[in-house]
Amino acid sequence: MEKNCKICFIDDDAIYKMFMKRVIEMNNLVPKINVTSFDDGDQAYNFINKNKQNPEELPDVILLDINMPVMDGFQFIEEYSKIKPKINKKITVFMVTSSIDPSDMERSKKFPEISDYITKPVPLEKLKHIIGSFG
Amino acid sequence: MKSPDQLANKLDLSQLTNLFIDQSKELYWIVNLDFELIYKNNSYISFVNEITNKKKKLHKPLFMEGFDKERSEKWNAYFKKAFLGESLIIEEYFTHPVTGKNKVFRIHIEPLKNDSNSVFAIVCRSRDITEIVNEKERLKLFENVIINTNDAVLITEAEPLDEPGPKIVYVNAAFTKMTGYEAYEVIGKTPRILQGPNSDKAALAELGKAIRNWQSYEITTINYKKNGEEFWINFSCTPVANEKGWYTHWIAIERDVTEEKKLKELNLQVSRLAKIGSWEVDLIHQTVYWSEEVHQIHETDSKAYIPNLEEGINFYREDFRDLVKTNVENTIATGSSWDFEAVIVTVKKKELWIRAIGDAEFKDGKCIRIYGGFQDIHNQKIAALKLEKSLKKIKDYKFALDQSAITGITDKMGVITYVNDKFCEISGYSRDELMGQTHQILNSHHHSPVFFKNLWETIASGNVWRAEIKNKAKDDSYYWVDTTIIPFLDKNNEPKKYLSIRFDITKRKRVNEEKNNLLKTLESSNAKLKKIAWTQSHEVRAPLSRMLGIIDLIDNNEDLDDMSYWLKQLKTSTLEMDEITKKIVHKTHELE
Repeated sequence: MEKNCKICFIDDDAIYKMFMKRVIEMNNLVPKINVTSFDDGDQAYNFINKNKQNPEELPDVILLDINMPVMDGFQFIEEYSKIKPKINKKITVFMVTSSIDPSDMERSKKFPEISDYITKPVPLEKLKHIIGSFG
Repeated sequence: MKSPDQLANKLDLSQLTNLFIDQSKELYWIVNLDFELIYKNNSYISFVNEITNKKKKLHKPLFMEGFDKERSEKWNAYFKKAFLGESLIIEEYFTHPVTGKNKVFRIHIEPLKNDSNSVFAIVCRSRDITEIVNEKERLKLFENVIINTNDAVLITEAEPLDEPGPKIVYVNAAFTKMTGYEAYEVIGKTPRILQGPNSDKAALAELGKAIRNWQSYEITTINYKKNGEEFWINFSCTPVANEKGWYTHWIAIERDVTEEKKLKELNLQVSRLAKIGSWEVDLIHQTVYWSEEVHQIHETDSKAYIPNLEEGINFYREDFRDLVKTNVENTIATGSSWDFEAVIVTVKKKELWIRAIGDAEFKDGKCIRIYGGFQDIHNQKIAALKLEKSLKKIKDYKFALDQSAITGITDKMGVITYVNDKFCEISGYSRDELMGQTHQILNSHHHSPVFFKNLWETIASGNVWRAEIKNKAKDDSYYWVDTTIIPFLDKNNEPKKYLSIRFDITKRKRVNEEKNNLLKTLESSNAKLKKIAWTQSHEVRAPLSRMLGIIDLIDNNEDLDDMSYWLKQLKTSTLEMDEITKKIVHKTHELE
């Protein structure tokens, strides 16, 4: 398990982010807790845009929530897709949301930048699989 | 008479006088120098008796007494002249004193001379020429008639009837006017110069036959004027005999009948065109006559088919035969005429509408003949029936339209000239109130002026306009009409009037409005429901998914060192969820 996987949560739910970190830590999914998180899409976008030539700072995986203040998940992905060609790192984006509305899932499928759609709570197996693929 | 031999034989003379003069029908009387009658014959005596009615004896010679003074003076003068040796022939016109008839005597007054040539007596010889004079006057009158009549008169010698034909001896002015020939140009020539290539040879041959038997004959033929122009002439030829009974002349009375002939020809053509024929049933001889046209209408051969009454009736289509029979019987019985239209079936099985007119002739109270006209009216009748049908159709359409629609007509200025009952009913105005008004009276001000401008531009350019209009009734209530306006164009393609057909759609409009309101309400509820669903999905599931995660974490790790922290998080999430649930209930209440 030498490999490192840098995970980024973009979500306004503080308890959820805390819970996810605890689950990752408890299960020793990554050797070193390497998690960044943002409370809304705007903060995340600014960070990525600033570090797009700096792969050390950029995450491998983004777990993106839909319903957030300031800039929601879809708005983020639209902006992100514009700067994606200039980003010097392969980032896999998962849409992670508590919404079970099928229209949200349909909408997510339209964005090629989104690899999958996951409904909260994220099953442990799923989490293992996501992180494992970078292991 | 004056020879010495005769004078010597006086006895012979008196005998002769007795024989010839005494008994002569002529009146003889001799007067001496003293104007005294010295001789009168029997005729003289009886004539004087006649005019005096034997009541009066005349002493003086005739005309010197018994008439007026003027006449006796005249006779005085005659005798004086005669005494001087003059012979006179006078015509004495007088009125018979008894009968009152006008008389004319021709009187020879002759002086008698002695040997020394001196007058010793006067012989008067009178002959009654009244008839001759009258005849002459009559002839003169006739001549005047012939000269002045409008009919041409032509007189020829009686013979020769063969070539070169009898010579013309007289033509009158009317003849000149009619033919263009002056009298001197034709006298001595034959009337045959008037004939030409188109003269009716057959008729002229008949004429020749008749006149060879000295019969009067009348023909109508084409003749030729001096300038070569053809004209139709009707002339009658009558032989004229002298007093001995010998035919000496032909007199022809001629009339230019070109105009009549043309008119007749025209009539014939017209009846042929109008397909009018005539027919006749002779009830005495039981014969039926059909004119050429009647044959044509029945498609029978006029040369071969001999019509009879029964077959004539059977030509009618079965359903019309009773009508025909009734009419015929009625006419024969009462003399009333008929005029009906019926269908016949021709020889070639063609059905034809005809018009038959019939009348009767009665003699001694018995019908001896029925006759009338027969006309092919098929085309007119079919057209009339068609018209009737289409008129009925139009009437039906109008009825249907009036029953279902609100119709109105305006002139080209939009002034109402016609409204049906429905129009009055829906608008609440009476017909009188609407007539002469424009539709402005119904304006609800719901539509913009542009709306009406478009209406007028459309119909004024001859196009049909259709839209839904909101109108205002007399009682200020509103009604909606689906309106179609159709312009009626004149021959210059300009609208002369407008027909409007409207259907009451007020109810539909109201239902629509209600539906729209309902839809709006539903849409807003729907939006709220969606919001609720979204809230459910995003807000409710946020703490819920968190709680599920935390419960799972606790369940799998019983010896969790930060257990109290996660329980606290669990409680926070539960409260958060309770808050959201309350919010949903509140929002759901808002929907109602």
